[in-house]
Amino acid sequence: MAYKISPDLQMRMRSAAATQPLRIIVRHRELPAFMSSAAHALRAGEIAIRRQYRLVSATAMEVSVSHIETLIQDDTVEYIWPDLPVHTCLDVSVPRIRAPQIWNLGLRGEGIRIAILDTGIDSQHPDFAGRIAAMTSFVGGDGSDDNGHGTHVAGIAAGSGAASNGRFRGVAPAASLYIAKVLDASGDGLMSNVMAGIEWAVNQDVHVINLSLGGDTPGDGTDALSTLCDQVVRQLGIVICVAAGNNGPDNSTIGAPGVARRVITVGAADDTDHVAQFSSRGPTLDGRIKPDIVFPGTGIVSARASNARVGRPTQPYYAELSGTSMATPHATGAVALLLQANPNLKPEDVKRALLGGALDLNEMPTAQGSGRGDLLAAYQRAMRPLPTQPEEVATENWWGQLRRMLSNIW
Amino acid sequence: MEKMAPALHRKLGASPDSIVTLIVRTNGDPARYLLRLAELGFAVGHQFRLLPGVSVRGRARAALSLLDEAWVLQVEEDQPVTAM
Repeated sequence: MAYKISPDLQMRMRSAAATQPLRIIVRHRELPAFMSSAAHALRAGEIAIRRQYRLVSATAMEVSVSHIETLIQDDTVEYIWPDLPVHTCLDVSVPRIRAPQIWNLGLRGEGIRIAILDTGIDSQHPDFAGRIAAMTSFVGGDGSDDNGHGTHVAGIAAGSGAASNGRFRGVAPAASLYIAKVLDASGDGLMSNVMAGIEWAVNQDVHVINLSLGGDTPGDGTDALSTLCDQVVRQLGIVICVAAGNNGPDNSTIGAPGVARRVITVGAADDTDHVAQFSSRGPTLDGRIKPDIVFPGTGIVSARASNARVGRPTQPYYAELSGTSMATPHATGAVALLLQANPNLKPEDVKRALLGGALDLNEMPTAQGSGRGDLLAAYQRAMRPLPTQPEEVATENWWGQLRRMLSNIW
Repeated sequence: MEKMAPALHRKLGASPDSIVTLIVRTNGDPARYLLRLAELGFAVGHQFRLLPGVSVRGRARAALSLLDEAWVLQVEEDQPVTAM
């Protein structure tokens, strides 16, 4: 009966105790026959069904090692695999947003200055060699990453993939990095530290700022941090990408600075192009649509700091993390490439190109914004002659956007 | 715009001796008000130029007294942020 079990499941069973639960996928004969055969085990709680599939006769479940032996004897069971974790490496998420098509045009972020305000960076990581232009800290120390979050974020925006022969390459792999540590080793900080980091980044003359951070309290964008962000975008022409937060799926769960009007607020999409359950939803407390857009943000494999506290290591230099923090640097890298392609773009032009080129995921605007980011489509919009537009892109209220959406449908 | 959100006003009033961290938006260069902030017992953290203001740490009672200062435009809590 061993032919019914995949070799990797056999190995896992040999190294596990009989009572240890394992996640498996069972391919079986037609569902009613299998369910009838498994009815006793289901009632006894020996099988916990997690998902049943329609296109193939298969069921994902959690069972003890000893019960797998019972399943093998079941005539309705045809084959059993382990239900293995999956992750979206940068070599999947970056092509999904069609960044390589932009690289093929000779654009990799050269000359674009990206500020990452986060937990710092592992400056010895090979993926950033020679491209960290400046580092500082507003929470003590020198900007070295004692958490791992900032290094991971920087890798998504601008990692070269040098430690993986180019496999785990970020969106803008030739951009320069300006690193401000504004979160401590636990990944926590204060708004005032972030504001100080933004002032520092402005003084470094960066083009785009990545904020994969935020507060938990839903806001209306009038707080000091959000106000500063809006001012930097409007008066200084610097693009700011902000994480929406991980407090979904409830509505109105976006805090500052994701509620700022002029920033690009980024939610997370999963590897099936649905908005991730955890991704925070709008509207803002004053009724505006947020997030503005979503980018891949589940199970992302990117650069791992040598002393990282967060993330599941996948290779010596890489780890997997999920969150809108991971979605946001996809947007930041995309902004870097658009600005390299067309240096005349103003922040509102960049935002309009990204939002206008987004792929509609057919989810609520308060979950997906304009949809999932598509860099090639945004590039095509960014290279068109720019029509005269109202100054602000994302201040339209909820009802205005809903009316516009409905008029498009009708 | 009111200088302080009612919820923060109530919170400070309920425990006037507690230590709080605040962001204070000022009318113009915050450096002009550092002496006054020190007189009120505040320790000043960051000074902001783009959006003029300071981050401070001090007693809730003193925070409430900031509302009487003409150069104070707005007072809000310096709220926590976390990696997402």
